[in-house]
Amino acid sequence: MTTREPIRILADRATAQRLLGAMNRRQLLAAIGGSAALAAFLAACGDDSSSDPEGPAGGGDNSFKLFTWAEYDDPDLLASFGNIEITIFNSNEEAIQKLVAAGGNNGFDVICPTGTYIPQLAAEGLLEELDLTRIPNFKNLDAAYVDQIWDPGNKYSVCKNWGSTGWIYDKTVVKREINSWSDFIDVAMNEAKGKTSILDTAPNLCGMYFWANGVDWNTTDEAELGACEEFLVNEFASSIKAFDSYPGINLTQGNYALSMVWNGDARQGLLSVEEAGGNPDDYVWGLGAPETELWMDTWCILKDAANQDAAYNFLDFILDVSNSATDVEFHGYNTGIQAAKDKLPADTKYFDMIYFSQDEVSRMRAGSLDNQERVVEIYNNCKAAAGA
Amino acid sequence: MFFVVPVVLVVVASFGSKIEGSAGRVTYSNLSLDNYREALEGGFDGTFVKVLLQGMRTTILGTLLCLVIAFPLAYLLATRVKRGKGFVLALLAIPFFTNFLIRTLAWRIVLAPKGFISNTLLDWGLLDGRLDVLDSRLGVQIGVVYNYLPLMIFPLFVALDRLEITHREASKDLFANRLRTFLQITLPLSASGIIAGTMLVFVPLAGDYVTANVLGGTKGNMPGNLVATQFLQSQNPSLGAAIAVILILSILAVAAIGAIVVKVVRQVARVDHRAGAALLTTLLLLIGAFVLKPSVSSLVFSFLALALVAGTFWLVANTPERVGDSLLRAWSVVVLVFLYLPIAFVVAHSFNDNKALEVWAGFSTRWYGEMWDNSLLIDSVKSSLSAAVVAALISVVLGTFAGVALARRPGKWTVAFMAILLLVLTTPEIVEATGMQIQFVSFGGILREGLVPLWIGQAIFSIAVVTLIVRARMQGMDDSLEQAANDLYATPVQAFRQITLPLIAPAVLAGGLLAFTFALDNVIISDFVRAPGTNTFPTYVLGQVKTVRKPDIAAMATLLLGVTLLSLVLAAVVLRRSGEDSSKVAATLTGGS
Repeated sequence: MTTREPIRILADRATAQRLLGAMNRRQLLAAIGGSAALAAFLAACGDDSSSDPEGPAGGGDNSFKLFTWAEYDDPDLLASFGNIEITIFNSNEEAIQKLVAAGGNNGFDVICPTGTYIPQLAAEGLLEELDLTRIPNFKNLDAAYVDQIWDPGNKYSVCKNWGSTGWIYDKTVVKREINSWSDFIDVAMNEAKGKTSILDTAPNLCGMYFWANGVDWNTTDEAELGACEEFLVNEFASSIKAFDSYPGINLTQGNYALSMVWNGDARQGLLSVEEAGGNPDDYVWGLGAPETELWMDTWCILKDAANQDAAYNFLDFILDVSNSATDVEFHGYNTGIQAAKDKLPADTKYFDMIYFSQDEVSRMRAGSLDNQERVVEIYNNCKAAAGA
Repeated sequence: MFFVVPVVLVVVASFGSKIEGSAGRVTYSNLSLDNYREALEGGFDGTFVKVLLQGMRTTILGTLLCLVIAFPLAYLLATRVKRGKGFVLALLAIPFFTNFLIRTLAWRIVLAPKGFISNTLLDWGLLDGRLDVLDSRLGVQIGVVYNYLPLMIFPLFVALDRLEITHREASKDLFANRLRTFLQITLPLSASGIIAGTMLVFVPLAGDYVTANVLGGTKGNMPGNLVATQFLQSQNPSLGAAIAVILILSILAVAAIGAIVVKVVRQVARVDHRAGAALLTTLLLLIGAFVLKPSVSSLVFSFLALALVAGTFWLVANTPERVGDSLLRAWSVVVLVFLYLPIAFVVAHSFNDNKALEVWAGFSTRWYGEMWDNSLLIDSVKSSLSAAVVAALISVVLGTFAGVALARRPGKWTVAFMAILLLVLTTPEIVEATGMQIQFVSFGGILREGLVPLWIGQAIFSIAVVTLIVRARMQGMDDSLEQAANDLYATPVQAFRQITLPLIAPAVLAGGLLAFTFALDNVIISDFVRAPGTNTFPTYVLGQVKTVRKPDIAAMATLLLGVTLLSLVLAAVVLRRSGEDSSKVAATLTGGS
């Protein structure tokens, strides 16, 4: 069987040649060449962090799995703590859906939900009750940012950072000042009609209407909700150009003339204009009035977390004053630790977009999930009307 | 099993109901049609029906635009270009191999009102105001046409390329003018390509909501969006499932109507071609009326495109051959520029010295260095590449066997199997994704470990694609060689290894390549099934879409583009060595036989 007979094939010439060509295995060699190039590229990517040989996971070392938003912490700061595997989510509901579908912590140790979602997470039995004595740096948090209505006594969460909602507009298009949500709505329906973006979350869309009209934005009164729906769907929807949760860059690229925006994102937009040599004075930021949102993102430990010790160590680490300042520099939001403010570099720009005055803070209202289903319904209907 | 279970789970979930106050848990204690009633509430004024109709308009218009834009190009390539077809085809394919999210995002840079193009046009006095294309229906159409155009060009090319030139010559000899030759010879004979291309564009486009979302603002609200919203925002999966089922049925219904219409037109045309043409025109007008019902202003573009193409055809038919050819050539150049514009911007902005990708702040290579320090990005690319390699291997092995079996062992099961494949191809990705998530979680164990869920999740769609390509190739060959092998006492294994496999090698390789790129590009399924701590490059980019985008994703995309180019060149070399000419390479790449 070792000597090879010449091959005879009963076939037309072209097919026979193809078959013979295939049999000399050149294809195979070339294919191997292809995979080799790919393998070489894979190798060039380096193979360090994924197979970390140091120490077993779950012990006293600082490895754990974090479920959080994109670009929300300084990577160097996290790396200085230990080996943190990050998975990104894009909305609270999405994060919760992935936990509920998995029937538990889904392998994660720490999660960063927005405060209003904590009662729901707790009711689903997904959160670990915190032992605050294991987080000595908890004392660094200001009294104003502990013991919130959605988590009395910080049973499940500690503050990560908080922010608020306002507007930013292009002064070259919008020539008048915007001082309240009523002004915002008026400008959106007139000179910025079809050039306005709204945050892509149901509570913020409805919140705008409620804040402008002096109604509690957590209302469950169907008369108020119905009026809100009537206005947003029939009158306001046609003014909206896009639902965009991060409009900062889009605004400075000229896509919008007016945007509802979170303070940190507005700041990023202004910074990018400066970096590109543009004129940030063309854009005006304003905090919502007479009332506006207070949202707080939090650190929670998930129930039955495999790396509970590391999770506690991390919570304590991140609440340290100078670590907190490093993180503020990265994301531009108030971490609820006033002492961190003094540790920021002197040349930090748009300082008042991170740390609000007492008067400004007094305008802010925390949200709840009491009217969630109805509010999402209004938002869906408004989206459909805006797209028609 | 992995094909059917996710869809069944979704159908079952659509009859359940949400447990009040829970974070989206579903109870099956009293099954009902309530979710369907809620979805269809309000009839034509209801939110869902409105969005569904608008989505179908976008989809149908997008498919038609792809067809009219692609046809002249494919025609030129198939009938006029004699050498270097493979090169041109590769040129057309390259944009398609760039990450789907990044090339969609790139249009936001290209069309930015304060971007380079807008500024240049203003400087030259060609624009009155700044470009105002993004976040409009025009933006949506540009995006969908861009993302799906290659899926139309390739099948068209394959069909036109197989046309015997003698048919057209004969027609000419019989004093038919060029228009007549085109209408009576070229068009009917290329019908198979038109149908294949239309299906390949229409089906995935109807379920896609990311493209429209990224570029369309409020005008980019697609039915798939509503499914995703119910799953991810309203925490009401059973309503989402019901909407998904209606969406699948609508896609199948439109496809079925399309198939019937084509059949009728062909029957009529066979008897009397004038009646056929009249019928076709009437139908196109009806479709046009449906598509153009909403606000006309932003659809001016589509009219212009249609007029331009119609004009081109008219000119080609009525001008001397040389002039017509140069017009075709000019059109092809326009299409190529269109395909490369965003890719060029991605590459350019990967050298942007700013933290914000879109805002140009001078030239710098810093991101090519800094991206290696972004462990989240690097790890995501590593997982993507290794998951895609395995997913492609799985798809090739299973798809090849399935394809061979379908072609050589036909029976009742083939009908059932093809139905399942069709279901996989028509199910919107978000539905498949949520179904698989439920399935993987409930089986647990290995399905939740490392890259395993990605291997399976990414392979599902690719298995279907490889199967269809291999089957198409097998059907194009008669089985005399295999019979001969049998007669010469070869065992089935020997026959398969030495005869069948070499013969279908190009299809297997092309299928593998497609499977690899589909897997590498996959975002929605990967996002839902991945194990904790695992990100893929597309899921990483998806996270960036919703925050400040750094140029390192563009730098990585540029690097990956280089790698894809390399593997494309290698694949082309392999195929050429095995004795295929370049047009057959293209044929196998796109599933023709």
